[in-house]
Amino acid sequence: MSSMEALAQTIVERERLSRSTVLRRSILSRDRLIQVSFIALILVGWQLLGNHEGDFFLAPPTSVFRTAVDEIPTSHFWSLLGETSKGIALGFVIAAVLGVIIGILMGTYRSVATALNPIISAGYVIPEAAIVPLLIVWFGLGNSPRVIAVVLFAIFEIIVTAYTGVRNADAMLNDVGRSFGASPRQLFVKVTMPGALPFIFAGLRIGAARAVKGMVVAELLFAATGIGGAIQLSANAFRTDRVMFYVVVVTVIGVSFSSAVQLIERLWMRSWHESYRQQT
Amino acid sequence: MTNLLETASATDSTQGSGVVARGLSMHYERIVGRDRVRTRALDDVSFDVRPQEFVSIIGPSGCGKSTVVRIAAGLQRPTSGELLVGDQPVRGPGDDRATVFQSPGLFPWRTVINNVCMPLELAGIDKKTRQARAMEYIELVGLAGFRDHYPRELSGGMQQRVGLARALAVRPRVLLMDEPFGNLDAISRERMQDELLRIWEHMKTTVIFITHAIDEAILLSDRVLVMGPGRIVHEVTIDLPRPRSRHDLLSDTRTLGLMRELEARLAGKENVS
Ligand SMILES: Nc1ncnc2c1ncn2[C@@H]1O[C@H](COP(=O)(O)OP(=O)(O)O)[C@@H](O)[C@H]1O
Ligand SMILES: [Mg+2]
Repeated sequence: MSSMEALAQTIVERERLSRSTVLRRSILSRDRLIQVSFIALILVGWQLLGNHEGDFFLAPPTSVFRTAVDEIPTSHFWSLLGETSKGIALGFVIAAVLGVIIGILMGTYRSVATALNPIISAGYVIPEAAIVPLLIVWFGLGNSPRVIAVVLFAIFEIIVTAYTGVRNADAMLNDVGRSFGASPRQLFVKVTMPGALPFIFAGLRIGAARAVKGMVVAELLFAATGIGGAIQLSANAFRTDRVMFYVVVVTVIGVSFSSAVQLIERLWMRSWHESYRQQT
Repeated sequence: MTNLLETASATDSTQGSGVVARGLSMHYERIVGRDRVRTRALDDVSFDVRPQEFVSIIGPSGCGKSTVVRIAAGLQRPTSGELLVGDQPVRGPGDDRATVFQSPGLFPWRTVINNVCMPLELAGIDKKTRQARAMEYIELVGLAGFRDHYPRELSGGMQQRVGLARALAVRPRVLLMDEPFGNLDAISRERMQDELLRIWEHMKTTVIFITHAIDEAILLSDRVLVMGPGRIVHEVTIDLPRPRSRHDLLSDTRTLGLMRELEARLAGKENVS
């Protein structure tokens, strides 16, 4: 009678922390302290070295900061930023949609995987930068070759992770689904995809970072367009302060894109994200 | 607890179905180097399970026990022979059967209740009904407090309970269990056996239970089929009174005889291979 009640139930207590405690824990953690100190150390070293070498060779953080204060209010800066970001966003969305679809198709249909695998493997190892000059030859200097460069930089990672995610679908869970009468469509929606999502999002996060790289490489090779172009021009003029400022801007763009993808990932997988994380 | 079980069986419209296996064979072929290798996982296996009977299949690992379950579940087709559930030949999965797997096979992204709901969801039962039904079986296995937990927040025994609740929620005519307690520690295993006994005695569903533990087979079953490589080599009827408990078994003089017999049959079969 009572053996079921006697079932050992682990005691789990949950207590909501106050907002200030949460804030304090996130700002004042030991890890955060180490990170901030290390960055500060680098900045100080950079400053000392820069003061010694001079702006011409290595602009110290203070010069870069001054350049930032000069540049950021100009409309020129914002048009560069807009041009580059728009290209990245467009290229990334195309790569994400195409990449996920191709990856899923490869994971689902063996023949598609067999057909595409050699191309994907090649695409994975070819340094995309080597193809950019070809794109210029084929598509000219307009917007499209830059967007195509972004797509090429980002898509292979996205394809491969989506493919891996679908392929890694747990055979056991597939059997469970089938044994309970799931149709192929239900299997895909309720078993395969939830299992593949963490992979797909990991691929999108990497893809977002690579999209930013793709854009800047394309712009550097094009010269005179977007932020990559600005870096090129500044370097030609030996303005290391401006080069560094724009490198920082590119970094900020990259981190923002990755964070945006991560945010979408969190929202999408809110329900089991935490438990998924704990597992890995 | 008794109340709960009565409610569950009162709302339970299912009755067990008989299961008949006729000449089941399952051969796997593959080419290894210059040889064609044929594995006879099952070779002409026939058996008969009466409605509401609890039959265990016992045998060393690799003898084909899981293959029987997979064929009965409709997950794979036998090379030859057929398997009938309530006179209907099995052509694929169906809601007259439900399976409890050895690794519980819970969906890690679903909470306990949503795992139990899964088969009902697949069958297109509306959300309110399926949640109510799922809760009924979650309570039955003693996990009411854990409905919103994720599988990895549960112990192995608790996960296996969820697997059991999920299969029971289908209200199957035949419950297939493939070494469901094989991965559990001794204490959890005993508890699960006790619970399964009590639930089954109220549910009147047919059970085919795979195990490689002799004591487990004796405690639970009406009949034990002893398997050797790909074949059923012997059948032992467990003529112990019901309802049973572990305690009754220990004090019953027949238990030892049954253990000896099963032990001998299992050992004898080793000589054959
Ligand atoms: N897909 C398969 N291909 C080839 N051989 C298999 C396959 N599945 C199972 N077998 C073989 O069939 C035999 C029986 O397997 P199984 O039914 O899992 O045994 P048990 O559950 O009794 O341990 C084993 O020898 C196993 O290696
Ligand atoms: Mg097995």
